[in-house]
Amino acid sequence: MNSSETQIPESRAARRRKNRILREQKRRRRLNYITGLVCALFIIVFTALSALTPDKTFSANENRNLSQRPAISVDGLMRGSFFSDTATHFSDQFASRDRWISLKLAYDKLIGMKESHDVYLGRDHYLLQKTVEPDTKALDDIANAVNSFASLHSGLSTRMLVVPCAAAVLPDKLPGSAPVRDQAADIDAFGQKLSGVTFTNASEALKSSNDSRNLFYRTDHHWTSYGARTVYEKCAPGLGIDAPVTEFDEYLLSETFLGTLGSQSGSFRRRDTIEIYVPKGCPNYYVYYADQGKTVSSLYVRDKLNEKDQYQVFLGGNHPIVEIHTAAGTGKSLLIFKDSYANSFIQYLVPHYDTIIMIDPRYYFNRLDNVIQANGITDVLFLYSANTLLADHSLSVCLNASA
Amino acid sequence: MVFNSIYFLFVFLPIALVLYYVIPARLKNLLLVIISFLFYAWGSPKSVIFLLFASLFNYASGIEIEHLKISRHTDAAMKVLIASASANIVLLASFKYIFDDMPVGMSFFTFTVLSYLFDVYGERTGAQRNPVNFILYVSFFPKLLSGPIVQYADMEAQLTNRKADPDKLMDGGVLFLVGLGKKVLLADALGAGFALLGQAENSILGAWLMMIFYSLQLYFDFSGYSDMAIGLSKMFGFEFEKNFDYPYMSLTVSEFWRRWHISLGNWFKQYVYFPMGGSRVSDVLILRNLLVVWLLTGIWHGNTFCFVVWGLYHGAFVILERFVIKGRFDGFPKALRRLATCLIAGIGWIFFFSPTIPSALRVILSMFGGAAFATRTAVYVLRSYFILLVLSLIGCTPFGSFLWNRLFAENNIGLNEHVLAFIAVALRLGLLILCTASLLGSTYTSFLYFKF
Repeated sequence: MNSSETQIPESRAARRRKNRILREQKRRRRLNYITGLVCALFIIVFTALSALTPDKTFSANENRNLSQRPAISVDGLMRGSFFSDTATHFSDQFASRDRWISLKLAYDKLIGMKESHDVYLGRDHYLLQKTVEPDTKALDDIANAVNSFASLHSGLSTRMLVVPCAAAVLPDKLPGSAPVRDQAADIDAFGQKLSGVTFTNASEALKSSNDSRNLFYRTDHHWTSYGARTVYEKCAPGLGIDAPVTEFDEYLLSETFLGTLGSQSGSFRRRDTIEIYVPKGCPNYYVYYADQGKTVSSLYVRDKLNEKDQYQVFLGGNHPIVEIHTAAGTGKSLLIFKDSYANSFIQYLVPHYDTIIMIDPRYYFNRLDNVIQANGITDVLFLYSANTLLADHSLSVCLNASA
Repeated sequence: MVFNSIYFLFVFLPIALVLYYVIPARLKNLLLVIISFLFYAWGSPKSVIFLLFASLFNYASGIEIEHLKISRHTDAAMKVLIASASANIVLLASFKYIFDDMPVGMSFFTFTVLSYLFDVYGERTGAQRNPVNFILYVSFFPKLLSGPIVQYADMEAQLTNRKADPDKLMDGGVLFLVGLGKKVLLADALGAGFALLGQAENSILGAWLMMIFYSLQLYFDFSGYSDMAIGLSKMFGFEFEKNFDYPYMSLTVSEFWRRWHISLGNWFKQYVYFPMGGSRVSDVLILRNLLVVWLLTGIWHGNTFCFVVWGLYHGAFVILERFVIKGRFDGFPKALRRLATCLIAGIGWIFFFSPTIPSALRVILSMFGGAAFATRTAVYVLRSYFILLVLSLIGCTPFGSFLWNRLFAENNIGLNEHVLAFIAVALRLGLLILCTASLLGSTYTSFLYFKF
């Protein structure tokens, strides 16, 4: 620049070049200034909004308590928790937090990402859980525990039903090339280890359904009432049911269900419907929740539809032990070891047993002998989703504790 | 604290800037020291004590060395230099190799103070008498955690005499934003893809993708962080040299190292290579000098044997280029030479990310046919990350900045100035918004229902 400012008259070209460079510098500077001001404004506005709006205590979408302003303490300052808590508090209480999360997801989808927080973003708005890697050691433990339970209680008919997850049943809903295990094979491999147990793999029944679109919720990892019904109808013999009910009364309970996968992935928009199918001519029954000391006359807990996890409408979620006493008069009593998949399956079992005892080994820590004798149990059913069973540690503990 | 966090971006930095620009000039350095210590305390409060004592120790050493030099006790000055430099190095080494909880940024901190001691001893500069200025040199928060490793001689004048004007503030802000985008939108996303690849069995495609993903992730992570650091420094009036200069555009490995982590290369050149005679000695000694530098480079980067191998691996190529190849490939097409250099660097990174030598060799073996062609996971990652991969590859070249200059600085398509400004600013604000969404997205933790 200095060389062009000598006394010698500049050539026209040199002057033009100099002007152009000056103009570019000016433009660059102007752009930087406007950028700086706009960005500063953006930051100030959101910081102010975040600081001024009252703190929220709970995030329904994330199903957790949001962090609150930390109190200043010497201990907190020394250990550094005060600093990290302050930062977490700010990001938890950031203005329009949920919208920012949605924006991030929309951007990820735009550039082609096919999963979010370990959930596959499938076709037709399906959200799918990844298939679980079988835990070989744990599976051997479960098989041994179930086998010895069956031989110890050889007077009872012991059966097992394992249900694959949506990703294994609906491969065409998976995003392109998403890696997924052959869960039907995983389930069969587990079944091979059992003896003295009638084993049912629900994969075929679900895969051959005429209406595969309604087998699983789109935003939740559970099967629907329809999925459960399909397996009930097709697998009845394996479950020891000779004459399954074929006619049902259908009710729509909710159209606003946002399931666990919706929450986990951060996609809050799409909602599921929850339907139930009540078998025609269902006998009278009552349900006893031992943990709450409460007796009710319905399998469905309507209040739960006002909560975040509407799947809890089925038997109010998971309990250590639930008793169902019916007027079916079949002379059979069933003990079920189960995970939450069973909750929406029970509605089809009511007509077939006088008593149904549901035990969730993840929360039940008492002996089983008393339960079996006191209720005159004739049948035992292990009902699990593959994603729970293949990495489960609680069932073998529960069975062995009572052996 | 790190720059790529919501709290830093929306609270810490704005407050720091406002205070800095309203406070009288004579208090600015003190303020920056306080801000820097607070910034450091955010990650690990206890380390602040270490930072303070280490700073004061080196402050005193510097004055002592200068004093002895001036009074012509050169031998004694050398002894003090050796003693204090050793103290720093032993401390770093014991934290790095014996204890597992090294204070963050200690590798950078140590090289920063060593630069000071060497500069004072070598009389490149005088000792810093003002403790505040000295502590600011070692603890200045933009460069404290991950560099750039600024040599004292390059920063000395700016400690007392710098101008913090709005021009620099805005320039620095834009550079910071670009760095943030590199880190958050590219590096972090590529990191997620790399993690997915790591879960699958080895395959030819998977191994190649791992190398490419890691090469890109590391580059955008580190150069993004450096951009943020240099940008922030500029916002406070400091001007530092760039730390990365499109390294994946290099034609040779030697060139790669003049463009990758430039401040570290310069440090080794200034304080290790030149004092040993550099390249102005016999071939045998040059060979020794290069080996020493590359061995140290490897050791500095990490505490496993893989890093030593990685350092010597690069050293081997540099030596090969100097003594054997001697520009014999200069006639080859540039694209081919760039590709070869990237491949050499990429294979080097495999040693960088692998926990052990055998696992590194397994990945390399897989790349060249020692595994099935592809796993479903590898194909899935390639499909999911294709757009990001293309964007990242373009980001390794000067194309983006070339395009930006043509469009927005030169206005080559002759748009109306207002429209031009609107588009440019909207793009940059969009970048900030996406970074904000991504940073908040990474704090999204949905608790899986406990009762599944």
